Amino acid sequence: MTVWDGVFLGLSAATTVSALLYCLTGVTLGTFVGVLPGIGSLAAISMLMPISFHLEPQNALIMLAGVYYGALYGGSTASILLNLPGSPSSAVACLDGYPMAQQGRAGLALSLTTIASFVGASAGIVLMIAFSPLIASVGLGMTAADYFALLLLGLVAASTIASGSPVRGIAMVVTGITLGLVGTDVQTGQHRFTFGSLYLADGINLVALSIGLFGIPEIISNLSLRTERRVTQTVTLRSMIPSGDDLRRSWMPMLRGIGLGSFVGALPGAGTNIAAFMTYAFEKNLSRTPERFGKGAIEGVVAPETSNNAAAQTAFVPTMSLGIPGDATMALLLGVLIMHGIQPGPRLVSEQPVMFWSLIMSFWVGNILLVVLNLPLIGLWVQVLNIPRRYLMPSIIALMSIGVFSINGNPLDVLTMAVAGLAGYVLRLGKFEPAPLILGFILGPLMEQYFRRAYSIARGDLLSMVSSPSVAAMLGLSAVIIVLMLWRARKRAGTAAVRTRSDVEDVAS
Amino acid sequence: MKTAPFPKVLPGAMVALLGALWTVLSLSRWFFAAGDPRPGMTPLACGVLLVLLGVAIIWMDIAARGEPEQPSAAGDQGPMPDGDADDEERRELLAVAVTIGAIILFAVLIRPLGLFLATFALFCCVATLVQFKSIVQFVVSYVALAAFVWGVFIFGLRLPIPVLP
Repeated sequence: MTVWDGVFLGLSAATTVSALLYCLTGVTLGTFVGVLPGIGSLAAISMLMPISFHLEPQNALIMLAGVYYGALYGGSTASILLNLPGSPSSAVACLDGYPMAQQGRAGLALSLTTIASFVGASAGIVLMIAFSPLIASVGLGMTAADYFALLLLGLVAASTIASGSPVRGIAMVVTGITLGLVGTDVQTGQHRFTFGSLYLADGINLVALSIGLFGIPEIISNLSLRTERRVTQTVTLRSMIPSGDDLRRSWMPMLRGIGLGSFVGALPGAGTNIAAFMTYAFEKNLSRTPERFGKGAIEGVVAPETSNNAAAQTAFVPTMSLGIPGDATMALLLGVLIMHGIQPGPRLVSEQPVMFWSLIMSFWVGNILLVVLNLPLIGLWVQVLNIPRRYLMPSIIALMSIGVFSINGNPLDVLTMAVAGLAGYVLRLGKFEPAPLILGFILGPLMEQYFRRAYSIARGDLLSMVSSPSVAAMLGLSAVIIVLMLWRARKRAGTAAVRTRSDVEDVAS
Repeated sequence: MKTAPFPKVLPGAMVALLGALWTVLSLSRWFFAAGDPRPGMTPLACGVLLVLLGVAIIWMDIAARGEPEQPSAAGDQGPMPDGDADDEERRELLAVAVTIGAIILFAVLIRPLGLFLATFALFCCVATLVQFKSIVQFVVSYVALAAFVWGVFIFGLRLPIPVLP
């Protein structure tokens, strides 16, 4: 099948009534949760996963992917109007978007972020169409040892680059792997760490765990707030029309955002947040007038917004073509596929062409829907920011609980969610990121399977297992990343210790 | 969400403890023959790694004891007065207790009482924290939620969830 055959096949599947309906549902829900400060796409996808299990896998994936990129569109609205980021990657929109709103240019900032998001996403989709089948064909030739090494590299990169502390990130990945091993061992049928419980024989429920780790801490965070912030600005359609000068100043930052975002998005562990902040820093360094940044510079809004949307699309490249997710959101989407009985990986493109291509083409449909939702209907989303917490929070907690219960009709799943929620809260207090844990939880068992398969093929000879140049290179790169990050962490700890000592001496003197 | 007190060594200790537990549990399943990797191998490796990482985190946290807290990216209002911080801490702990408690209550009640009453119990719990302006507002909100839940899960998805006791 050629790329064009795939594109037409995907277009016909993505424009059926049911696919359009689920795409619209996904992007609308995504924009809704994106607009709400604090609730990111990860928490939103976790909350919607229970419903997705009752849908066709293709429609489920289209809807959840819609939530993912819809949340990116909506995330900047709260950043611009309230200086409260709707999602972590939207935090960068606060830097220049909020000053623009204070200057009475909120409408322009909102329309430019929508245009930039659409341009970035479209470029990302084109790159995905071009590269996914190519990478999948390379993936078909990979051995079990290659897969093990690639998964290890992805986990190491994701845990050390994306999270604040690399040591804490690795600890979270390893914790995720250990939790992922709970249940029945697929190779021997032995129960591992089930403590005699039949409930645990199937493993820890992914949905309950992810809602607990991501959704519940967000709810607690929202419920802890004493006051609610309200939007006072009015955004009219007229105020959203950019001038010729605005567009002229935007197109080059958009192009740079596409380049940087697409590249960073496809890397394991980097994700949309890093893409957005890197692009902002790059744009500021490149500017002849960097002093305008942070005071309402259009470039500071447009470039990162283009970048994070391009990154959001290219993040699907390794996920769909190799079955290796770059970040926790992609890992959750992969988890949805696995729970639907679909094995992600290079064979997905050839064995499930309708699903693969319809998902890609639904991105375009979804992005067009998002432009409609975010330009003429922006007033509606501004009003969403004013919905009182007393209506939202009880409903969200109820929907999460019912959703988790509905998967197996088992109250133990709801209790697992409560325990995971408490764990998620404690992890945040201890400055641990829960995202690497989910990555480890989903990829850990897969990595173990590949390792054991490769180990058996090599007849227990570890040296011959890693003798292939590609495996050696990936394992070497993983080791280099770990050493570099540990060295950096040690240096940081050393600096802090010296600073503490000098502070104590100052106080003593 | 960073107001509740948390001892410096606790995060690392938690990781190390989990690792130690996993190592002990894995050792009982530790069978390893060349060419036949047994199910205890990966858990044991993870357990040992977690112990080492836990110790490293404890060491780093103790070394960084004097390091000032990083301000948040946006919306940071600076340090709060002591009274406000205590109040916020209390509110946060209350939010944890109410949220987790409401979910546990729902799990316990869903089978014997059905969807509507279990949701009502959960709704009442959370309502203690969000404070509705009047009883009418509370009732209307619950009825709207119950109708939505019935529409999505029972009517739309046709799930066999018990609705009434």
